[in-house]
Amino acid sequence: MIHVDHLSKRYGAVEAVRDVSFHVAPGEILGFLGPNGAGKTTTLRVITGFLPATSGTVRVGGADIFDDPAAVKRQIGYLPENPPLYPELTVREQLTFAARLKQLPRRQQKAAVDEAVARAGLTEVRGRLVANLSKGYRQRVGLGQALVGAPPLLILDEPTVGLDPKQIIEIRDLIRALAGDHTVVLSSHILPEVRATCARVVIIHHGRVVATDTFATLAARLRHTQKVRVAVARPGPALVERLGALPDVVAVSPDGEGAWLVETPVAADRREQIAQAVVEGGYGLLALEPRALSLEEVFLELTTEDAAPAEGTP
Amino acid sequence: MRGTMAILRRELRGYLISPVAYVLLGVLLLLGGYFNFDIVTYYAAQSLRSAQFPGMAEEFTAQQGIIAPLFSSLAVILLLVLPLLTMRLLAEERARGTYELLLTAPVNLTAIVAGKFLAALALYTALLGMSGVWPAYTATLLPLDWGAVAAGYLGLWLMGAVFIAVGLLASSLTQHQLIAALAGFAILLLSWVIGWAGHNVEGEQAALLKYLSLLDHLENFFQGVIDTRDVVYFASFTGLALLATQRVLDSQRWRA
Repeated sequence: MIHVDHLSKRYGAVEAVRDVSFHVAPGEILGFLGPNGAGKTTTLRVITGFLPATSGTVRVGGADIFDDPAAVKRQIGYLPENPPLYPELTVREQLTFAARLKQLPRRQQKAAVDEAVARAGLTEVRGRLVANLSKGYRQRVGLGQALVGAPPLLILDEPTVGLDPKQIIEIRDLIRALAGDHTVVLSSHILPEVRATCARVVIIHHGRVVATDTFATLAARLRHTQKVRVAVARPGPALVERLGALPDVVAVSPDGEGAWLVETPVAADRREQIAQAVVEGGYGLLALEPRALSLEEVFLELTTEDAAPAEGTP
Repeated sequence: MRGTMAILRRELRGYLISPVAYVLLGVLLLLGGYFNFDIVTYYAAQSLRSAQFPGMAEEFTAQQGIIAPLFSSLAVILLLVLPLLTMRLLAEERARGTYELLLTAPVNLTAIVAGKFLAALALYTALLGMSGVWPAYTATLLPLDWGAVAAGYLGLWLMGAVFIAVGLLASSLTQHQLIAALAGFAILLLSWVIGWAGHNVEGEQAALLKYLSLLDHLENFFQGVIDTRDVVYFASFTGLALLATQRVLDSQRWRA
């Protein structure tokens, strides 16, 4: 459904998103998790065509956002972080405007709006002015607006920010109920939020993807392994094999030119053995440093309290 | 241009709900009414005098004595009022965040600019229509050349299109409506008075300044003359401002 490849976005000198790649399968609910300022909103804005990418490609359902933005946008129902609503319109009018903007055929507009009203739980407030609605209801109107025309892909940016716990639960249930019919990408900086709704998660930190996996796998990896970065002057063919053969080493993965990451269980510090193996092999050891798992850093920065007040995500 | 109609309709609705349009209508009618009263009273006094000196009467038709001065006054009022009508068009969308809705809908920038422009133009056309009460009043007193009046209205309408396009451009540059109004007003005032500088220079420079001046292109219309050169001037000024607006919006996406 979504293919994001090597996406980068600069704001002047600031690189908000760096070489981000991930794919989303049809029907999947993907969590887009990262601390405030990680680049979540920027990434979503590029996917939805609000901002152009500095480099990299985004394709949604086969259409490229750069070559055919309208084809991409037609497939997406987008709820930005602040629901884009006109206070002077009633709920129905707001959704009707969305239906017209999406250029649904005239005859289908009314049915599409009615359906979105029903699915977002807006029946009771459909005649009220957006200006007079509570924050929770506005969020629902935003969600209803995204649902108009039943687009195959829903992109929801921090859909529960600023809501009270009861509203959060309602919105979450709503999102889960949508899961069957839509592919959903949900961004959040709150760990339990994503865990409650998403099977798979992309974790982003300082503009980079640090992990893409299911929650279960991530949790396992997080608890059990650490990484050591080894840089050598003369990489030889047998180096990887040699490192892999060391006791307790779980995996050896390349990390740029002439460098590898050696993964070991947390309990076993094998730096000494690694150094010895490199020196004995005559590879010319240049550096050996424990790599704090970036995933771990991210998790530390994530809000783990449910329903904590959060504001000021860019 | 898909989506233009959706934007146009919402925009018009926004105008009709907000008090701004009504206040502007009130201002237009109040000031216009005052000017019309003043002009008609003056004309009456003049025609009384010219009855004593028959030579004057021929040069003093209702078109020259009432309609043209009325339209000139209306043009000045519109110069002040229209930037206030257009200031919110894009600045408000930006400030409210609804701009994100427009840009992530399957609608291109040209359709957005067109929808906004046409909505303001439609409202302006309605406002302008209401000023018809004054020529209609004059017609109860004197015979009027309706063709000439229509030419004057065409001039005002074309001028309004320029004002709206320029106001839209100003509104694309900022999130602040007040700044948009001031910027729009500044550009319009400059193009209004630029012809005056023509008096200080000679030759081609003077001709160029005169050509650029809004005011000089209005005169013919107010005298009841439709000159295609004037029409082309207003149409191209409008088109240029709209194109610039579209380019500004596009470049903002890339610089954001």
